Amino acid sequence: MRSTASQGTALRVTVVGLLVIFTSAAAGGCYGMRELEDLSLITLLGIDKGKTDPILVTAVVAIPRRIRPSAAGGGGGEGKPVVVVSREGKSIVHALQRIDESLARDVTTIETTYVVLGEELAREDASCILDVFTRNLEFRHTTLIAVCQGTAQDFLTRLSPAVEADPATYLVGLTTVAYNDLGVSPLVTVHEFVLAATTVESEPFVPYLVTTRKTQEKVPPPQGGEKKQGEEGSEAGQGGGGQEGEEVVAVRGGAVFRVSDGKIKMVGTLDPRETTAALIMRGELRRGNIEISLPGAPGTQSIIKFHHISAHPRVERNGREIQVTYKVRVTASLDEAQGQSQEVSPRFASAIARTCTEELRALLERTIEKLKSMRSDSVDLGMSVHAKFATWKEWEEFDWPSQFPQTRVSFDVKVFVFTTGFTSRPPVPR
Amino acid sequence: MHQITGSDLEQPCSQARPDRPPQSAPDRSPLPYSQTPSLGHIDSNQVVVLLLYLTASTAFLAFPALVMTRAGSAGWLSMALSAGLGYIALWGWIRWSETTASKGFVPALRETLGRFFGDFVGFLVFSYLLSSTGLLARVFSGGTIIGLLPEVPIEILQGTLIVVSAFGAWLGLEPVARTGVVLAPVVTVSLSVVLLASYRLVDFRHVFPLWGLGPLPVLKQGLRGAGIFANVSALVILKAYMRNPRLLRAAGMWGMSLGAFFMVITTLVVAAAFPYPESTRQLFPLGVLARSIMLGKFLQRLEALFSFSWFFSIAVNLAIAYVLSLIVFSQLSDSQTVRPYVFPVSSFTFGLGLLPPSLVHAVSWLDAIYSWAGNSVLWLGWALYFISRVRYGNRSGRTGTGGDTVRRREGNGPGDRANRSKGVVPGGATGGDGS
Repeated sequence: MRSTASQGTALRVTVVGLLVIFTSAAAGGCYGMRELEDLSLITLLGIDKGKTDPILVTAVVAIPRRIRPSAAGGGGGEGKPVVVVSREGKSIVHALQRIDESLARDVTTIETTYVVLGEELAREDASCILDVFTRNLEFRHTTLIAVCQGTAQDFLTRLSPAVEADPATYLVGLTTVAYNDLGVSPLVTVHEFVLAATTVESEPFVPYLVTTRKTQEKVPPPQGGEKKQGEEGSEAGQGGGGQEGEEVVAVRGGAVFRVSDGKIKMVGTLDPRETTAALIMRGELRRGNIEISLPGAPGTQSIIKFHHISAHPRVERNGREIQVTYKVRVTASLDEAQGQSQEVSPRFASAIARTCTEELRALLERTIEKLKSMRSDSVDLGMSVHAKFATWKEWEEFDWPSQFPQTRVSFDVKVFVFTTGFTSRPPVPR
Repeated sequence: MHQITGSDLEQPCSQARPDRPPQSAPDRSPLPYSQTPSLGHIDSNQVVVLLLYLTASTAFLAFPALVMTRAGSAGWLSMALSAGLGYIALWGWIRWSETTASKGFVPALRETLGRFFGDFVGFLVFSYLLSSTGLLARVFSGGTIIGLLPEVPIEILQGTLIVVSAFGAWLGLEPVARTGVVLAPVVTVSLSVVLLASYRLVDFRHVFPLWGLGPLPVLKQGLRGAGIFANVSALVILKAYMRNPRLLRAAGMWGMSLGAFFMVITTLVVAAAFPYPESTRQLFPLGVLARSIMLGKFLQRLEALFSFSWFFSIAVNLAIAYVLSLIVFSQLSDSQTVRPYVFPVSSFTFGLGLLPPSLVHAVSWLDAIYSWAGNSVLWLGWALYFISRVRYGNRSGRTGTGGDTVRRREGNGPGDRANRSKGVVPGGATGGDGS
């Protein structure tokens, strides 16, 4: 009996052991594994319109041993930390396969943190990125997306940040700060881009990146040279000599898209202040500020810093007429005032709040009118309006994309300036 | 009291209970249900958890997206309606089970419908369990390939899942139930973390227009989608294995409530995270949601948690489904054991799962099975109850196998102990197949 029992136990242990090994091997992904050192990790991906093939893909491939800081154990600082490779292809995956042919390692986008769209491609049709990010497991939904002035190839090739070894880390930090702390740029993942592009109620809205000069010196226009595509409106030219200062990347607000006829087209940009207004309407603004002239002192600039912002759209529907009133409430403080203004009085504080309210209302109105003129609901107004419809059929018949420009939008703004920085005034200001 | 363990599996009850004399001579005739072999016993809490797995695991798959396809942004309303219908149907099963005392599922069917029709209906239920199990394994494996392991052949994944689940079934109901209870907090916590962490992606304005594609499509989908709760019928199969069958009603209601809550919340979150019609494109919306979470540098791959909850819940679901299939088949064949069927049944489901030429077909077939076969099984409880009432009135509700008064064995599980003090559970010697 004992031997039978022990045989049974041994059999059971063997079966369970084999099962554990089999399951671990199969479910753990050991099948078809690829070692990390055999991979080329693409950290930034640029997409442009190609010349011979439809798509030009630029891949910024990290060289990990060069990204590592020198203090962390040698190897750092020897040469560029990334390799930039561009290839054209019939699709993104096709172009990546061509890039693969020129590298000794298997390229992968599993670590890609940013996708940068060239402006020309964005203005023509950005829908080429939708499918691969929806379908392909290696393309992650959390990847951030932006549009750059000019071509993405040019932008990524010239991207050499001073404060970070890794360009991808730099770009992520740049837009994150612009979104979280300054409120002058949206921060959009591919997931959000896809959602906005595939729904009727909203349109994509992504950061707009430009290459500019570190110093604010005037750059003489290039003599006799052709203007590069997308240079119009840029703060600084990109073809100047090396004496004007180092080129740096900057966020210049948001790029606005419109979806029509199955194409996702960039239809314009919002400057940083308008982007702040758009973020307020989207209910996303965390921090931000507005510049106003101090009451009674025209031309004296001051900075009002927003602490808490809320914006709730109230929608009224009368047949096909839509009236939206945004109830905007802001708590703010006066952060800085140029000049010698040291006025401290309840009347002064009220006047600042009034001025700020008017400025903000004007900014919001200007922004929504600009979006209406571009026929792009990048502030997701449709998300609030469709709640007034009982069924999807009614909503479709209403045809929001065509109705958005006709929608009346007003703003009920109240700004509470809880401090102007001083509580008492010196008897003799100097 | 003798504690039945896994080693008692396949032993006739007389051997499993040393306080009973062994049978003197082999009896080839079908044994009464109270003497069929043991798979272990479970308490009411374990029944609740098993029902939760059986009803809610499909939320991890394509079903929220399928509901959105037919009901639009009001998919969650359809799911709530389906859940309401599930409650009504569950009540039918409970009422019928009360008319059949402590009989096993197939013996109870035979009592209500007669030998031929009872076996026929039992075979249909068995077929439903088997086909849904095979296709569920296929859909899950396909989802794993799309979402996690793109280079692993589907046969390897499906085989692994089926081997693990079938091994659980081979061990018996009690080990499966215990595994389910142990993993339930893991699944719940990891899934809750994923759902909570997706707050930035959720916008409840996406739930509008409130009626989605319209009241009629919502109603239709609610009726059709009720089939997803067909597995609540497992309650009457599990009844005979409960230490205290008197807690059947409460266990059923709790299991159904938790499952319904989970399904409605999941559908609501999916509707809020993916505006219509984008929601309809998501093959595995919860998986996509988990992949889209971005919480900063230190929590970049929260989807790993989802993978745990996904695999655990489906594996336990399949293991329970295997156990239920084996129980029904064992009772249909009047055999004394389930283990010899484990390999054939699991092999059959493996082959069945590979029948659909693509994942799209597999999802479509599984949806059809839940919609039509599921609904048929769901409402079978009321049909059986009415037939039973017509044939027997209230008589069979108070009778056991041989017409004698039913006495239930006192359980020893936490759920049973809680009721012992109330004096609800009388001492007795029936109630499970191991008595």
